[in-house]
Amino acid sequence: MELIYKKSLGILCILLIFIGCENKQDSDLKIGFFAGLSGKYSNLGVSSRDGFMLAFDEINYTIKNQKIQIIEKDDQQKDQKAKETIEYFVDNNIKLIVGNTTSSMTKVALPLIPKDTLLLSSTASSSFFTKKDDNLLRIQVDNSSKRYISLAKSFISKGYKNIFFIYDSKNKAHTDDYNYILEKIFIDQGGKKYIGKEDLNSKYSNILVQLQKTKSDMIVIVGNSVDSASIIQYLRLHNVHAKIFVSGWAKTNDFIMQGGKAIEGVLFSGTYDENSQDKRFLRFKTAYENKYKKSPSVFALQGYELAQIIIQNLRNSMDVQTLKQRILQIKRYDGLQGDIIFDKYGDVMRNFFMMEVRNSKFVVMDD
Amino acid sequence: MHLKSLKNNILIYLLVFTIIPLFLGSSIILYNGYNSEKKNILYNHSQYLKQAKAQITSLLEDIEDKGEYVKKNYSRKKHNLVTGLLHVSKSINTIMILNNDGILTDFSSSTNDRIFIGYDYSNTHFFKALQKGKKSHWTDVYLSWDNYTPSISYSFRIDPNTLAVFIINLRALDDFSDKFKSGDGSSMIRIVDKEGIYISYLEYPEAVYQRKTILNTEVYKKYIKNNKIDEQIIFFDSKKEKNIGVYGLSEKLHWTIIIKEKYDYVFKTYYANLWFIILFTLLLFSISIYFSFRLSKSILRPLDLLSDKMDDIAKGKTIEKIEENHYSELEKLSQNFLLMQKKIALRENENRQKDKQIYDSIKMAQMGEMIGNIAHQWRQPLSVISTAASGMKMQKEYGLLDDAQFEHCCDLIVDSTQFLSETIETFRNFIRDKKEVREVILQEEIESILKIVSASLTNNHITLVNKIDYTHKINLLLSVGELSQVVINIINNAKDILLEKKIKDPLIIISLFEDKRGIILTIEDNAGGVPQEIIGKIFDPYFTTKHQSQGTGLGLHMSYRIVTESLKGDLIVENTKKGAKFFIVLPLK
Repeated sequence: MELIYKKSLGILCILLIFIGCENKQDSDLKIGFFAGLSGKYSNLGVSSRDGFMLAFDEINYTIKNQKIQIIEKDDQQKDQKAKETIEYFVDNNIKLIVGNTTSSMTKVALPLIPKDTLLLSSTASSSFFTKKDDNLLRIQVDNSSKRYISLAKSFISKGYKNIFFIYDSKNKAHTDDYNYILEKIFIDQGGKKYIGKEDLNSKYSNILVQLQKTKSDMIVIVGNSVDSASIIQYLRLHNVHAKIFVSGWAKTNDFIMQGGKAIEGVLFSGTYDENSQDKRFLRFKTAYENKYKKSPSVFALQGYELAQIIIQNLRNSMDVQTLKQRILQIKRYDGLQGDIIFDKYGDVMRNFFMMEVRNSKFVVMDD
Repeated sequence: MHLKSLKNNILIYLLVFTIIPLFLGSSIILYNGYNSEKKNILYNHSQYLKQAKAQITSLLEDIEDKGEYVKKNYSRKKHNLVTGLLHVSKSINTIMILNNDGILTDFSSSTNDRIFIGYDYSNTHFFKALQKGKKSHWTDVYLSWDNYTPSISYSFRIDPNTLAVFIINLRALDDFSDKFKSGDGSSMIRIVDKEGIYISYLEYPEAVYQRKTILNTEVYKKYIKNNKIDEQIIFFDSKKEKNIGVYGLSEKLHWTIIIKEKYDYVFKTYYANLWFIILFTLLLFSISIYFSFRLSKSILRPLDLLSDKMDDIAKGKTIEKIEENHYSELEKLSQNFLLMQKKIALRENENRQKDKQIYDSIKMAQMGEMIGNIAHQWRQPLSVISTAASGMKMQKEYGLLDDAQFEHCCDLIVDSTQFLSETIETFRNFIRDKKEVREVILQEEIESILKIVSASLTNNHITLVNKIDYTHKINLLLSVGELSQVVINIINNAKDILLEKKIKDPLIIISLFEDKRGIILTIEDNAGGVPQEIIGKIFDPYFTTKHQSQGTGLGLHMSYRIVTESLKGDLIVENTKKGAKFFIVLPLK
């Protein structure tokens, strides 16, 4: 009888071990990703997400035998949604958040981020976040005075003095930099005050009327790719021939596709060259195209670079609490096109260059 | 050797041979039931998949038919055709007419007020595709600029200089998907374009709005990537819910169509049956366990009874009767045990009688030897008495008997009778005090023993060599009678073999000494020794080399038992160069 009891006890133990294994605690490292993934601004968000995901896909969402779980949320470029998303991440004890893709939403999210949580953005460029010792790190070069000085100098050197400014008021944190800082620097560099300012969300006919009232030789547009391409088509159609400069926000394939020949000669200033022959960039481009069957935009590239920085540091330690210090300690990272160098505030420095649309391609200008 | 319990083994076998068939039977029923349910589900899902494919083809063909209509009638009806068609087509958001340079020449849109005649669409995929010579072109999902929602478009040539583009609302697919609903109300269908972007996912519409890709999902990695078309697929979705279904490709645009239902829902009935079968099986398990115990008990109880009775027999009790039981085999076993008990008792009795006879014969043999020894001892004194008496008689008759002679003869007769008296006392002591233990001086006791046998040896011309050390007296608590029996037995055996082999100058050497093993008395002869093949058997009972009339085969056995059991010593035999040497080892205390 004793034998039977011993055998039964053995079987029970084995069952308990199995049950124990089945109920083991979920120890995935959770990373929150949020961006405008639907609607008008989703090109930026979707591209960033796809680039970001590609990097984790390459490592099968595993670092040091620990699974990485990326929780994806759409803020729809709405303040309330952005707040709800942060609350969700905080409630779920997610200490590493990647987002948002527009400066406006980042501005909404940042105050809600707890002290022990790190916010990483690949595309937020507003100078609002510059030189602040906060828990935000970004690999997008900020809209700093330095950047605008070279831009303003470039305009002046080419003889553009009368700037008409068209901006998307729904991404105010980003457009304000162009609205105020660029204007001030432009004046400082010998230019004039903007001769007109119009919201991109206004009726095109109203924008045209205001534009035609001025004698602008340069139109600066700060909007997304679809809106920017559309207004440029409209303006060209109505015989507006002034030189056009568009912010990097619009620098996507959609801009080319929907701009037709109207966007030929449009200027951009940026840190990425779509035609770069850098091996790391080409390798990324191939992987991206194989997976998504389309060319990567700048934002996909930045999303990928940000993910690589996170992965590189998590490989050293999975401790998220010290991630910011560790990222800044290493300071210099290999980007897909040149180095990414962080300053002590978590802002990055990269070289800017002017680009122009030629034959439906973004081409780096020699001068 | 590890002994197993018969009872436990019988119980385990009973349990194993009842539970295993039950377990296997129920498992096979459950497995077959599960497979059959899966096959039914696969069949149903395959039917849904066929319907979905057909309806998607029909939906796309309907749009292509509208394209045909535009192609045929645009040149006549122009703008009215475009607005009219848009009005009646819910699935189309915008219709655009482009010239051969990609410039918008006419359009109608229900969603966008930011399209203007003259816009240049020459960089678009659809324009480029048609420019390459294609007659028509379906795009994958892209973010439409007319309402900023993911859309697809169908473009075609109206004539060599004119192109038309339909921008199609993906909600049309949602309406279609809504028709495929599972019994739990959830949508059964997901549609993905050929690049892996969701174009219809009613349960999770964000996947479509956010242009999510299926490429990172389990269903893609496990099945779609491996081309498991039309096979049953079981996968976890993004909400960690288990699903079962099937997938296939639409004929026209190679969209992936996944038909799936929640696993738990479709197996609801099976689970209900499963629980029933499990409970029923458990009930059968319980019944079989109960009957196994009952059966084992009914078999083992008589065995226990038998076992108890055997214990009693082993303890010496006499069993008259064993309770009857219902099993013929066990009853037979019981009766055989009783019979065996009787036979054992009978054999014991016979053995006892045989032992008594042997004991008697040993006694008789000892008596005979003793009388022989007495005879040898008495022969000389009796001869002296006889000679003295007859000498005196003859001297008296011839008148030669003087006083001195008479006194001398009387002294001889008195001395001889005294010797005879002493001899009788010695023999009497030997026989009387057989088991009496007393403290003795060992040398003196051995001296007495030798006196008993010395005459017999002398008469047979055997020299007794006494090497006993008399200088160091050995005091010992000892049963002298038992030691005497052993020594006399060994000496007599030596004498017999010496005579039998007619050894020239026969001798027996006695020695006594003390060493670390104890007190050692040795008796050695020169009769050539014990043959090597029997030396290990000479202390066995009934083993003898003598003729049956001379030996019982018990002498040395009894000697061995006396030394080892009663005297707590040891009796060892070794062959020397000349003969056999017995060592009687006595403990010091």
